[in-house]
Amino acid sequence: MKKVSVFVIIFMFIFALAGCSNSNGDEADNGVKTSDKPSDSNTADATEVQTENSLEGLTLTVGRWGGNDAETAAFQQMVDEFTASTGVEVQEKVYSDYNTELQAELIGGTAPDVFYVDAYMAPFYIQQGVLLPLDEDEFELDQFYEPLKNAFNKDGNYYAISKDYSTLALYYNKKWVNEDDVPATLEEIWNGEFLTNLQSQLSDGAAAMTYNQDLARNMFYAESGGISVIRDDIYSNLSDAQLVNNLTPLYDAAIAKKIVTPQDLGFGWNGDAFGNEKTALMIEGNWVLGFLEQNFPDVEFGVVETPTFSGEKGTMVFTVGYGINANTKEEAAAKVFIKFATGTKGMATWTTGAGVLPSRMDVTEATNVESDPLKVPHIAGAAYATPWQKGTTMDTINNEYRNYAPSVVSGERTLDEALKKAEDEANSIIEAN
Amino acid sequence: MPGKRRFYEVLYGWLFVSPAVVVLGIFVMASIVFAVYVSFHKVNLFTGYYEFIGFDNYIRIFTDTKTKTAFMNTITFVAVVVPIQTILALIMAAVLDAKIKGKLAFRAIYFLPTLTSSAALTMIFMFLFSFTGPVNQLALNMNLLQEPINFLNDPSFALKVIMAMNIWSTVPFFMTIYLAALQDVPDTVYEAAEVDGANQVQKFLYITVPQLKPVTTFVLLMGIIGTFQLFDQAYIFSNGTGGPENSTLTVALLVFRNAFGQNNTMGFAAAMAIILSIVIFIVSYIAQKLNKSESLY
Repeated sequence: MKKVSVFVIIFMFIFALAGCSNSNGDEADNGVKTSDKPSDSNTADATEVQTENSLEGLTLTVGRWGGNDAETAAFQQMVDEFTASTGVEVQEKVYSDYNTELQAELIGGTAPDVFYVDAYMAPFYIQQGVLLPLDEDEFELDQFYEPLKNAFNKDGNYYAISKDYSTLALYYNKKWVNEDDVPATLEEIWNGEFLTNLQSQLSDGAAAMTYNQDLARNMFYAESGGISVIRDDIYSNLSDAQLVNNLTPLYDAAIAKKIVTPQDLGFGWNGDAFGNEKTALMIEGNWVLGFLEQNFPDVEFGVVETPTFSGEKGTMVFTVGYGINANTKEEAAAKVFIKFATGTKGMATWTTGAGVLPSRMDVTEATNVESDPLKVPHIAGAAYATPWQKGTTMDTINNEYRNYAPSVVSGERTLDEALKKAEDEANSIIEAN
Repeated sequence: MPGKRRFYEVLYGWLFVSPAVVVLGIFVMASIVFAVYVSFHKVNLFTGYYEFIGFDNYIRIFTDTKTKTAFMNTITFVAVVVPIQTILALIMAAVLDAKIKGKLAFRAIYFLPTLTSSAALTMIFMFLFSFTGPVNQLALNMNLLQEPINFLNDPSFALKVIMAMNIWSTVPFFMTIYLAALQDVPDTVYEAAEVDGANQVQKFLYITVPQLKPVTTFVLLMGIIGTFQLFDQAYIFSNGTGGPENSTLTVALLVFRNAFGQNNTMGFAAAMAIILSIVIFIVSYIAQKLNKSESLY
């Protein structure tokens, strides 16, 4: 009797363990596979697949971050078209804290076959060797805008293909601002009488213009005149005299309270402040268009190209591409997917559905995005924009910049001192790493 | 036969605990061991590169100005938040334990902040304390301030806002624990005190507080552990930078920044996490010793 019960218990235990390993298997693997992930066996698999011509029935995992409803729908539509034409099933993996989660999965060997690569993070991923190099001709890179194509280039190799892009442009609320009155240069806006006059028309608690203390927004004029925020490839160069000079007009305006951050107004970002009509002017990316349309349909606004700085046109461009996991087992299918998604048809579906700008010049023409006057200033920017990307230490450099920028506005430090401090702190971290 | 019987007993025991042992072993013990291992190495998890560097990561913790700031911030945070939240929780529990009308409703309302997610809470507090937000408006209208304070961007205020937020959201939880413990304080003691002519304050100080000492130890420990690990509120508040001017840079935030993003200094991050746990251990031990109840019963 006793023996029977022992057997029953052992049996139940084994059963329970088996159940555990089924549901927890993926996570458990994460911890184990870290260092000894065999990459050779994978490439063997991949070549096997490549020799077969038909990709029918394969399943490809695509990792991305969540977007708004329009983006989700557009992505789904693009994927459906892809599956219909190739027979490859696509499984989406949507992340919330994208780069943290993706890094964990890359290390654990459970990352998707194809995933979004933010141009900003591209140098880091390329350095870690997690991206497969892609052929320039195969993906028709000659059709792409130069800054977008080069954002994923390292030593002549391309590691991701841009799927769309955003640039910054100047937004104004038509209630208070006439397009013709907007000064043509950033210096005039910040340091002239324009904002002071504008401020007097606004109600209490509203600001004439918002700005951001972030190199992602400030870099194109910070680097005006050929100076770089980085020296020797990795070190912060913020205290360079010319760079300080370039940032002075912005911080002069901030110190004079002519411009404020959206946080000063109690908002999370410019778009929210602008939509609530708490600011009349902002420099924002085209992602704000859909946001304003959806949440603040009554606000009448216009968009113009970012005003020039020290006589030159400039803006920032942000782009995201599709990259292939270097450890993928579905290399062939992954390439076909990227070719489709960044090809004329897939990109047209995606960009028109999601309301974003196509990275390809031929798609820009074909989809007629330039008929939308609100997007024209953004498209114009693509030609001369500075990509938001600068090596593998930008995180640290920008962190320290954002850390010390408020002390300039509060008057505790001069811009000179703050940038020096930000540079020193960043460099000591970079050195120690 | 007793030997066999004993064997089966041991076997049963292991069988019953094994699911928990396996899960904890993998997700807790193995992770800790791996963290210790990593902390002695220069690591790149992407490429599987491990280089043994001895105590270099640990030495860097004591020479690095950033970590010093982070530890100072965190210790300040703990030193302010833990006593306040413990005392407030005790007082609120004592009040809610009294015979007042609608105390159930009060208990429910007071407990609400604990149920709010800390992310949402942080956003709300950032709005409340923003330059043109309600706190500033109120203070201006009451003539407490001449001009609004930039709570969020001023390094001397940023951490205090997070302290206020943390106290506000954790007090109700500890209050509930105190409330439960108060039910166990025998009425006879209070009655005896009343006979001796003790007033309400005396009863609170000389009966309630000592009677609750074991619970206070628990509350202190939970408070210390929770506050030392402060991450989410500081992360959201500063957008991950720990700014303005490192004023909201906590140890946990610094660990995160070194482990992820572009830094990829997992070894240093692991070493810092281990030092943090040692600090938590020491502080908790001291707190527990200081609060040691002289035999109550």
